[in-house]
Amino acid sequence: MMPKREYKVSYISSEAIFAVPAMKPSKVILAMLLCFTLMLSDIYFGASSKIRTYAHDVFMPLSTLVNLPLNLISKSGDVFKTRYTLRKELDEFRIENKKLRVTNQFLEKVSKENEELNRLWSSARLNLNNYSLVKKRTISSNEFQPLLIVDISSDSSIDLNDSLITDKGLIGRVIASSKYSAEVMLLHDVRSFVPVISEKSKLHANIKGGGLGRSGKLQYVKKTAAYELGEKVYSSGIADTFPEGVYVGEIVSIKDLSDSEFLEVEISFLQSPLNQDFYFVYENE
Amino acid sequence: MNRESKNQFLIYLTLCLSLLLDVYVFPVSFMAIKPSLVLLVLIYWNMALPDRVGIAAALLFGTLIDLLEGSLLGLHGTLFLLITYMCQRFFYQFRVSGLWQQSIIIFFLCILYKQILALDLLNVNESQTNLSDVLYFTHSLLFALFSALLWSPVLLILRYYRRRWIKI
Repeated sequence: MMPKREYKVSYISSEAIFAVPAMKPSKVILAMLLCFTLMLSDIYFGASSKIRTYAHDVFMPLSTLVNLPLNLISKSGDVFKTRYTLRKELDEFRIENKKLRVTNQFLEKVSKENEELNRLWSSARLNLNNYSLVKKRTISSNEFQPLLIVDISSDSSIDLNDSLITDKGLIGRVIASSKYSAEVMLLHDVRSFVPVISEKSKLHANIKGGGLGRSGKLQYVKKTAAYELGEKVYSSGIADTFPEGVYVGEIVSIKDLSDSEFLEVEISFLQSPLNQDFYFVYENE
Repeated sequence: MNRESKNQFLIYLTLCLSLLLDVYVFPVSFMAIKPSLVLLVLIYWNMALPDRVGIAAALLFGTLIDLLEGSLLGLHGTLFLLITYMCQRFFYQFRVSGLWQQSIIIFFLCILYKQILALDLLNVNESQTNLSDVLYFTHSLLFALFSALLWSPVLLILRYYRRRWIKI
C-alpha cells in the first residue's frame, strides 16, 4: 500500500492524484533557523574550530576508500593478460639486471625523499628541539580561508599558534589541533596577520592575507615609507607568535593612491610550498 | 535490510563517495575551480527521487563540508537546503528539460552558489567584495562551467546506478 503522503485525493472524482509533494516550507524554515544558529555559534564562540580537527580524525580512515579504486585498477591489468605474456614477464623478472634496476630505482626514490628531509633540517636555524616534522594530509578548496590539514603524531606537543615552516619560508600557524591532525591557517588566509620587517629599509609592518593565489597587503604603511620593489620581507618576531627572521615574501607592487592616506604595498607569498609534503612545526617557547 | 533502508543506504553511499572525492583527490591548482560533486549528486537525487532525499541529507552533508573545508559552520547547510528546496519545488519542470537546458540551469545555480559562499560574513576581507575580485569571479565562472559540463555524465551515471540498484 502506498504511503498517504505520496498521493492526494481529487475532490471532484475522489481518485488518487499521484504526486510527490515538495518539502514543507515550515520544515525548511526550521532547518534554516538551525543553520543560522550554527553560523552564529561559529561567529561568536568559534564552534567549528573546536570540532573540526576531530572531524578530520574521524574521516582519516575513509580517505583510504578514495585510493581503493585506483589500486584495484592498477592491479586489475594482470587479469586480462595472456599466459604467453605472463610467462614472458616471469622470465624478465628472473633476470638479475632487472632486479638491480628495480632496487636502484627504489634507492633513488629513497635518496630523493632523504634529500628533501635533509634540506628541511638544514634550513633549521633556531633551536632544533623546537621543531617537529609533519606531513600534509589535505588542503581545503576554500579560496579566502584556505586550511591546511597536517598529520601529527599522537604524542606530539604541537600547540595553538605554533608556526608552520619549510626550507623556503613561513607557511602559516596552527589554529587547532587534535590527537592525529592539526589545522593550519595559511598566510594567504584573509584572517591572517603576520608582523614583518623588510630586508633593506628595515621597516616594520603587518601583512594581511588576500586569499589563495592572491597577494598579501601590508597594513597601514605611511606614504613616506621607503619600500622597494623586489624587497624581501621576514617575520619580525613581534608578538612572539612567529619566530624571528623567517622569509615571508617579496614586495611585488607599491601604489600611492591619491584617495588613501596609506601606501598600498602588495606582497607575493610562497606558492610552491603548498605542493610539498613535509613541513616543520616550530613550537613557540 | 528491507528495501527502503537499502535504497537510503545506496543514495547516501553515492553522497559519501562524492564527498570523499571532493575533499581528497584534486591537486591544489585545481581546487578553486573544481566542481562540487556533492552538490551535483544532491541535485540529482532531489530531482530523481525527491521523496527519498530531503532536509536531513542537505543539512548533514552541508555541515560535513563546512567541517572539512573550513567554511563558516552552517553556510553550506543553508545553501544545500535552499538548493534542495528549489529542486524539489521545481523538479517536475527540471526533470523534463533536455540535458543542455539542465546544464544551463546548473551553470547559473553554481555561479550563485559560489558567490554566496564568498560572502564575507566574518567581516575579515574589507578591501574587496567577491564581485569586484576579478580572480574570484573568473573562478566562479569556471566552477560553474565545469559543473555544467559535468552534469550530463553525473546524471547518466547516477541514472544507470538508480535503475540498476535502487528498486522502488
